[in-house]
Amino acid sequence: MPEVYLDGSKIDFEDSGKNLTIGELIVSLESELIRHRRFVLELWVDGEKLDNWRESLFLKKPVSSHGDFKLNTASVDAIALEGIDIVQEYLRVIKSNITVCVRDLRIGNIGDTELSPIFEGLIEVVKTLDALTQGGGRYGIDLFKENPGVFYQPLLKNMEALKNAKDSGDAVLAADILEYELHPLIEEIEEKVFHKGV
Amino acid sequence: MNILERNCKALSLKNKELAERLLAFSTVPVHLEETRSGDWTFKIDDKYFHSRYDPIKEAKVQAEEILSRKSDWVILFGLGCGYILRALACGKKDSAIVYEPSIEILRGVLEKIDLSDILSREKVYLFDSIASAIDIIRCGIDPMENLLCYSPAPYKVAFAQQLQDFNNRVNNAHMTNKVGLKTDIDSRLKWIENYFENLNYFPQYSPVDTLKDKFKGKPMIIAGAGPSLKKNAHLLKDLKGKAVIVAAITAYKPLLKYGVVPDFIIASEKVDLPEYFTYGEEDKNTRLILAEISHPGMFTREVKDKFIFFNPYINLSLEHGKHWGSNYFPAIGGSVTTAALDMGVMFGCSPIVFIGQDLCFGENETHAPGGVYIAQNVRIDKEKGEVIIEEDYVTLKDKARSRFNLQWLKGLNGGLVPSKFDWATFHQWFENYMVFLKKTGLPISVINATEGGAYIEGMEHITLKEAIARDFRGEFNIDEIMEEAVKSRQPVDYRALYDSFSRMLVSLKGIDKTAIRILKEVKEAKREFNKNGNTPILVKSVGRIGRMVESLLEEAQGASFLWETLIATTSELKEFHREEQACDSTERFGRELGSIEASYTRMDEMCRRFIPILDNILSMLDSHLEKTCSSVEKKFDIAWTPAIQ
Repeated sequence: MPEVYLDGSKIDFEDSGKNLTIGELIVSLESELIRHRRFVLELWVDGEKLDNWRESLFLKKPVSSHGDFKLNTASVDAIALEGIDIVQEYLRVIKSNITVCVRDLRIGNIGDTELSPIFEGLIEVVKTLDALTQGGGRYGIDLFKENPGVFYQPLLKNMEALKNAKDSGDAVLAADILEYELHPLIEEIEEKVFHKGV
Repeated sequence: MNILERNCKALSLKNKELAERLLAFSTVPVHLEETRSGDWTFKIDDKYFHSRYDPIKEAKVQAEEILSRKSDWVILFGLGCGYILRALACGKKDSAIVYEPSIEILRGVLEKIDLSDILSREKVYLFDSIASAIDIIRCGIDPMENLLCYSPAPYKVAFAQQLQDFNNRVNNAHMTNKVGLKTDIDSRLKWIENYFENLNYFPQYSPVDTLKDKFKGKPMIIAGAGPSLKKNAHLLKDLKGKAVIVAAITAYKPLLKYGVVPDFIIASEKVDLPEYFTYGEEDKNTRLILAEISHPGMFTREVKDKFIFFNPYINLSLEHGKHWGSNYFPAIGGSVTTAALDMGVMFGCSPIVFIGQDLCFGENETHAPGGVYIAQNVRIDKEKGEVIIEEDYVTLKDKARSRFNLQWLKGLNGGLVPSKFDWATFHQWFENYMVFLKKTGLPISVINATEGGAYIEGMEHITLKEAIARDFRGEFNIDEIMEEAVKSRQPVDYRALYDSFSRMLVSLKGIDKTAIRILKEVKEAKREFNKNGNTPILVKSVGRIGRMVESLLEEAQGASFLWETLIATTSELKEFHREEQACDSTERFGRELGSIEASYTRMDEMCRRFIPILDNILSMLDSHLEKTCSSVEKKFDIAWTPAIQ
């Protein structure tokens, strides 16, 4: 019978039919953890830490095929705050990249202007905001002043327009989008989405 | 007065023709749209040329970038709405040449935006013709000044081809200026020395304008030594007596390989070029056209006859040309083939056909085979923008190695062809000359039958075979024409020469005296400055130096050739004044005294060098005049010993 530890303490666990999957084990534990606004952050199996385990086929394997499971949990509030910090830092960096790119485009260096850090940064921002929104909903935490989802479409629209402007060699348009559309939009997100002091 | 009229009034100060054209413009100008900031922008092919939000802020960024690169002149491709020009002016940069490729933009913008205050500034030029912009670069910009070419991004996209052409031509024009200055620095003194050494040849050989209009309507072939010469040089053999064949000295031996002895070889090098001759029968069947400043050794070559031409950029020649019997100063673009073109026009020839005038590198070669270059290895590095040439030269034991920056010219093949600074200079000159020739209305056709290399705007481009079939008619006896012409040469005016050299000598002696006094005063000023600093005595001394310099400048007008011999020194002085001095005013004053001392020491040296030469010339002229005063008809029988000691 495999042994299961939660935050270092061994818990009673029974799998008499020997057909419980690892995924089912974690779901059942997390349903208990919700009450404490915690969730499983790390999973160690037979002494080895697993990465990306939430998305792997590993969760479909039977619990009985391993010797021990060690699960470490984290506070939803702490993780959410860290996520918000990261998003805000991302947005600051994106704004500063925009300033550099606008200058490059204005002086005509369209070929040398590197827009990919802006695109990649915005995609990360959207992904993180979305994850935080969903996670916050599950745990009943109100993380944002305003639903960030309303900004995804305008962000996407600007990114598309920016890509088209760059591809067609239109430096003036690309700079205008960055300076007068994307930059103010990011400032609006910062102002409307995040609580003061968060 | 509306905005357009105000702008055109300001523009007409420097470009009246464009101002008039803009006022009379009748097609649809570009439509200007108001931006969020209340300024203007416009679009072409759906692309805006300025920000739709705040074009003035945008221009400020662009101007900051331009100003950070510290240039003497900004060459702006694209006026747009003039925001960059205004931002530059706000940044105290008002030496700018603006080329706007679209008259529709120009008219639309000048209708709505008042730029009259900027356009009326002394050093702000606006053109819609590349040739006019290039003219200003060639004639209005000091070669020592640096240029910055800038084009806003929308112009780079909308006018890509024109921009490339414009940048190439600006670069080539400025390079021409620099080459001209470098040539002057390297050559002027030697030219003056050669001139004095060649004096005894001037009465012996006819000025080239003795042949003026003697070949009216007859074809002329000018053979350069470019790699393409091998494509059609064989056709020249059948043209003897049907065309005047002129070879650049570098093309002489290659032509001999095809059995062609040219009617003329043209040369003007300041150094002797004995390796270019055969010393056989071929030499005796051709004639030399030599510059008055060619190396004296070139006048000793045994050829059928020699003709002399006088250069318009040599002050001695300008003053003496007519006394030697010449009233012709050819337009010259730095190479003998450029001079040959102007001579062809003066002879009355038509068509004038170029061959071997590639003005660019061939397949691993710079010149046609058969000349002084035995083997060549040309390596072009497009990335580094340079070309490295290794060649075996007839008179050198080891390979000669040289490196040049690549210049690009429009090629006959429609693309760009790799060239270097001197060829690009000649190319530019040819194109300018063709504009000039067109303006004269002379019925002379100029054909570039090189069949490779650079495309020369203004010339017709056909093969030599086609030119011969279409334009070469009948035969003529060149020898007879020339013999007849030489008989009518203008006599030498020895009296006028004597008077001129006398004035020069007086002037030179006066200059030297003043230069020595300046040097003495500078020494005293230095002593006072080092001992007591800036005192009333020093101020008085500096005042005396200033007055003596003024008097010297007046005296120097009588011997203007002296300035030519001093060009290296005056250029150094100019550079000294251009440099930003990182020192305090006291140190700078000390340095200035030092530079004045160096300049006038050099001037004293030059005076001492040329005073005995002029003395010698005058005594020979004197004895000649004494001998001939009773027989004026004996005009050409003097033989002088070389004047240079």
